[in-house]
Amino acid sequence: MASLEARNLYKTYESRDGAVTALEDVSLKVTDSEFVAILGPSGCGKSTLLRILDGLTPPDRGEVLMDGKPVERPTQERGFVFQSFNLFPWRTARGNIEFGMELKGVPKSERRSAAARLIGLVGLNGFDGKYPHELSGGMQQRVGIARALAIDPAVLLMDEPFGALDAQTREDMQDELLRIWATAKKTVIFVTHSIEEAIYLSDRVIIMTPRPGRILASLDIPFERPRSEAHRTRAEFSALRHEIYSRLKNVR
Amino acid sequence: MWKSRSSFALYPVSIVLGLLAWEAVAAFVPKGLLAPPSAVLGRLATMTADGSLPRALAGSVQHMIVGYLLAVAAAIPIGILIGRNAPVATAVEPVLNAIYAIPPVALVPFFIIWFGMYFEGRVALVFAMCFFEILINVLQGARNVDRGLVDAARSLEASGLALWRLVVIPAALPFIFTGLRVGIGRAVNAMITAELFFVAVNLGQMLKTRSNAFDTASAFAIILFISLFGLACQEGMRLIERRAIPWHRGSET
Repeated sequence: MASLEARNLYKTYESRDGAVTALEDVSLKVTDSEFVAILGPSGCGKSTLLRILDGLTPPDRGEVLMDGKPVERPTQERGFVFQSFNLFPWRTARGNIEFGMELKGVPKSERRSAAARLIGLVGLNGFDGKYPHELSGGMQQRVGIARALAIDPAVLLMDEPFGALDAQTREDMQDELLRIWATAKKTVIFVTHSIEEAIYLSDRVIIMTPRPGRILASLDIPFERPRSEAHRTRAEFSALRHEIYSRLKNVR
Repeated sequence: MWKSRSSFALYPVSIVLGLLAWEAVAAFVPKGLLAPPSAVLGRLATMTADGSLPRALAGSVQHMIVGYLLAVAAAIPIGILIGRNAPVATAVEPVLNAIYAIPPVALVPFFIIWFGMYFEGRVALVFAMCFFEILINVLQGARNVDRGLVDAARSLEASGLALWRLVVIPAALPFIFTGLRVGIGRAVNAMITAELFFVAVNLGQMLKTRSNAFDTASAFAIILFISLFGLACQEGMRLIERRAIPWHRGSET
């Protein structure tokens, strides 16, 4: 079904200290229903890569293909979840979730029932009429996830979605995401700088290094699903974490 | 909590103390120079009850409302266009700032030449006095639209007009309402200024006649009436704002 492929992407930014190479010859392929984490320190271009995969930012060179067709701008085939949530403050939780459906002219009754189902899926029953500022950070990101899922995308792109949350909420949200993913069956590309988060969530971890932003390695995560707290304490888990850690350390 | 409660109590206390001081000073001053607050409040009550103040206000608000609405209708689209268009902003902002620095009253002689001494001239002055206040707020609002919100909408495939209608304009609304509120205060100010600087009519005429007759009690009563009207306009606007953008309260972090 859905595959997303990046071919030889290059991206350079002008900054005060001169040109910064955010991406240099980055290629990757993600296939159907896969959960892939893109891991790297801040400034390694992983967010830029994700924005290019969605079509929010154009690459300088190279191309992105979704099911073989070039991606030139964002479409509802891909959903995006932001680190800073970016909820529309003038819309309620329900209104935020319905935004993408409104753009597509989905009738109101249909929007309502789809939003109600998603509110249930992300565990926000009873909060559908609340404005973003009335919700906690974790709840806001639940709305962010529901809003991205509401357009029924084949691929979900997540840019450090739990980076702004406290440690406890972050772990709860990781489990919530895995539960949602198991139900919704989407291809997920998840950007993070937490090694543990990447291992715990994904089938495959793509490691990036900064300046210039390049892909260093791709590692398969052998743990079975569903995942749980017990995985975090396993010896293989620590071994993997250690391996990724030393790889990242060697390039610096 | 304690602070807000005590300041609530202090509010009327300071007003009463101020009025008492005024009353005491006025006792030693000729009536033609300074009327005591008791006399001013008395005149305010009579002139309101006999309908003379409300009638004059009904005349005054006409040019105020027309001038204000024209200013709003012009400032909102122009402000949004400039605020969302960096090259245009760079080009026109120096000119705008230069015009903004001119006291509008200095333009009255030109307004008389262009629009005459009557209704149209007064409307022009009201427009000139509130247009820039509204424009500057709208411009800031349009410029400061959170990029993240635009990204979020684009990622959901919003583009073109939908992006403006569903993101840029709602995001700028708090600033637009600030502009409307500041603007209406200026419009009340301009309403009276116009009646004093062009041909004196309505409230402006009453104010002129009473002060020329050294009837300070009536003159102060008229000023107090205008000030209360201005206050009511701004509070009314605040009320509309709370109804129109309920999501804005508490979202300023």
